[in-house]
Amino acid sequence: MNRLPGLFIILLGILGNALAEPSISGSLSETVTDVDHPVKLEIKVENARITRPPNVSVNGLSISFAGTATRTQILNFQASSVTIFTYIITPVREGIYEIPPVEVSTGGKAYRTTAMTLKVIHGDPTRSATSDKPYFAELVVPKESAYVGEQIPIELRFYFNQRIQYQPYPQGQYPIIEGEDFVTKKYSDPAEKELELNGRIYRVLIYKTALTGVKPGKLNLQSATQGFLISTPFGLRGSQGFADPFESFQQQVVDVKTNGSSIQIKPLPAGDRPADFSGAVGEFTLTASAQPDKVKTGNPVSMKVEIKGLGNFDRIEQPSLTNTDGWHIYQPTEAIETLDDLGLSATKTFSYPLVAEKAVTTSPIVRFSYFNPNSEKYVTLSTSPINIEVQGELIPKVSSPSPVAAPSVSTQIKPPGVPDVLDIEVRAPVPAAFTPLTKQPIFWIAQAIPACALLAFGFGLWLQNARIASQPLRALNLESRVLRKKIGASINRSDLLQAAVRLLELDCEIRSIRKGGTPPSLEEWINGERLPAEIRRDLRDLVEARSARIYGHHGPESLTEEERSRIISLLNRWRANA
Amino acid sequence: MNSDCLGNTKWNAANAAYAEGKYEEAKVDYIQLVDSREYSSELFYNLGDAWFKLNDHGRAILNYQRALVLNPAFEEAKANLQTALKIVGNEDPKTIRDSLGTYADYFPVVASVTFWIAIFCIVGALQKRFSYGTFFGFVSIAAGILFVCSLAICIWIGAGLKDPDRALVIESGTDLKYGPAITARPVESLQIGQPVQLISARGDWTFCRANTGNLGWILSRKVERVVP
Repeated sequence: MNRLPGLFIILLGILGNALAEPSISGSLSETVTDVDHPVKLEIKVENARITRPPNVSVNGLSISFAGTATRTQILNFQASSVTIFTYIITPVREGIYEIPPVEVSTGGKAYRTTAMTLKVIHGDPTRSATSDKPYFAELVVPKESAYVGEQIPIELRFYFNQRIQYQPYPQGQYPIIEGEDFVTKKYSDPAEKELELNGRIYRVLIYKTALTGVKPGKLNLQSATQGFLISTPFGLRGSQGFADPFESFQQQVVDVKTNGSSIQIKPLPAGDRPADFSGAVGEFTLTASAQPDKVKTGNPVSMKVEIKGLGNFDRIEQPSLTNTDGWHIYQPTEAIETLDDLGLSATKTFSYPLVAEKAVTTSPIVRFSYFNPNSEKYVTLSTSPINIEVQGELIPKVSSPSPVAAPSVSTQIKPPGVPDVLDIEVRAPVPAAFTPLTKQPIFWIAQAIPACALLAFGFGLWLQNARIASQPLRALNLESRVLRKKIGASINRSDLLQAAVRLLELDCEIRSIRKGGTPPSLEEWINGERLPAEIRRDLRDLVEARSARIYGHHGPESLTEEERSRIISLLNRWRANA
Repeated sequence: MNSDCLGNTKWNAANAAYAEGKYEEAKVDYIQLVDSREYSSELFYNLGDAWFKLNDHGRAILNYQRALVLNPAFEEAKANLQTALKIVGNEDPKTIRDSLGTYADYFPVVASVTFWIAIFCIVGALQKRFSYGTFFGFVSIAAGILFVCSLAICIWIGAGLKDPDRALVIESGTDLKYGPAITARPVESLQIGQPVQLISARGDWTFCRANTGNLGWILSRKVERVVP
């Protein structure tokens, strides 16, 4: 009964929050600045859930969105939520600018900030000198002081006359910031836009990153350098207007350097530092949830802890857990979801596998401490215990006690839901090699098989063609052999004379085929001067005797051995001399 | 007793130690087998499991990767690799080059087969005595295109995952730095299991290229070559 007034007050607070009217306000970090000196604009929205940053634009001011921070707090039983949208305003011309009321809509109603005024004076005289150059760069640091570990978004702006063609060189190289005692985040992809400066239009390549001071003191950023391959038209004197399509370009590699800057890095206060502070600097919120909400002892519960906000998420370690009695807690898995290009605004999630060892009613309490550079104080966030109904008997402890500790190697029993690997292979291992196939001899030996087949095929084709080509010659040689036998064996005079003359003709044909040209025919041999006169006379007599015998039927039919010998002798002499 | 028998004995002893939950002992036996160059996908898979049980997820990932290099169709190794990568928070999708690199030994086979088919078909198409000259012509064109594509992939991926200069990050908190010194500023933070291409070494530092294309220096002990 004594708790009733307390509950009533809490309910009243929650009701008050629900009924609290949303509000919006805007503020500038400086109201007077000089050209190219950036100032920070913060739009603060209270008691309304706005996720998209409102649009802010003023002619003559370059305004870029830098990030969002959301905070929920309960003060004096009054819950409130605040969303802060941060912009970096870089004036490009002097003058007095009015930033019109910024409007957000929620619950069907529109809310506006009051108008703000920014006076831009003509500042550093050297700055106007740089703007006459075809290219130059500047380092934009929005803060003059920060704490160790605090992430400071910075911009590296590389200005190029609109007639210069440029590209980072070497490709993929990012700017190098000269200086010590700081670390930077990975650059986001550079953005390119056109800006008017002192009446001239420049193309600006903007690299964004975040810088973190690692030790107290004055942090001197000497300069940032980026190499560019630029193509400059001959005769460029900062002229405006259309580019001449026929003009010549000169290519060169240049290192473009920015101005320097300095930031005072302040140490984190040591006095009221919480014991569980791990180095997180920024503004964060903490939420926790658990599933399922009703289990038996020994069964797993997954508790998800989300840390959301703007800050150095790489320094956020797993939060500490209290009220862990009755729970066995395993190492959590971590995941980060970035909400902007640089990862300044993000959500880091820790998933704790829990196993209840006895009947309990609430989950462990999560506690997370960080340093808020805006309020310059340490903040400790705690979640409320989550109601979980655990039923069953007490089970013996299986591993190291809570809170979270590294699980022991051989005694660790992983509950269902905790990732584990498939079991080992016990089959006999099959030997294998890391040598690439193209470096193994077997690959090249295998290539020899089709190569040999191709060679064999080619040789076969050549052989076949050769046989076809030599077919007439072989027929003539065969006939020639038959005639020789006939001359040696025939007793008929007509046959022998016919065979002898045919043999001579065949011999001429064979010579013609072998020499590939047109050697003399038998007639030409007989009538020409190439053979001795005696052989030519005998050949003529032979041909005439054959004609007389075949066509005139002159002379005896029978053949004498002397005549056969004379004919054979003539054929041998012909062969020797022809 | 020959080396095969010794290897089998060691293999069985390592598996038995693992089954009894003596992961450290199993790991030592598996490493001895690796040191004796008795490589097999099963050996690296089991060694990966032993490292996993010892909570060294970096070396577990490295050995699952080795198992997959030797046997790209090793489904259990694929599953365990995914599990280990998920635990360390490295869920970056594989690049096309890495995906193709897994099958680096397949492309030379395709290239050589298509090359010889194209050559034989060209010879066939040029022979007037064959009545299928047009068919051979088409086949030779198709095989030629396949050959050129597979050859281009071979050249692009090189030795693939068997590249001796390919290494994996095996420890957390690994930064690619602008210079070979602890105090040098980081270029980018590397995740466990992220591949890097080793270029040169100086003392305890190795100059390398991350798979994001960034160049920088890394502590040599934080990376290990995939090809042992």
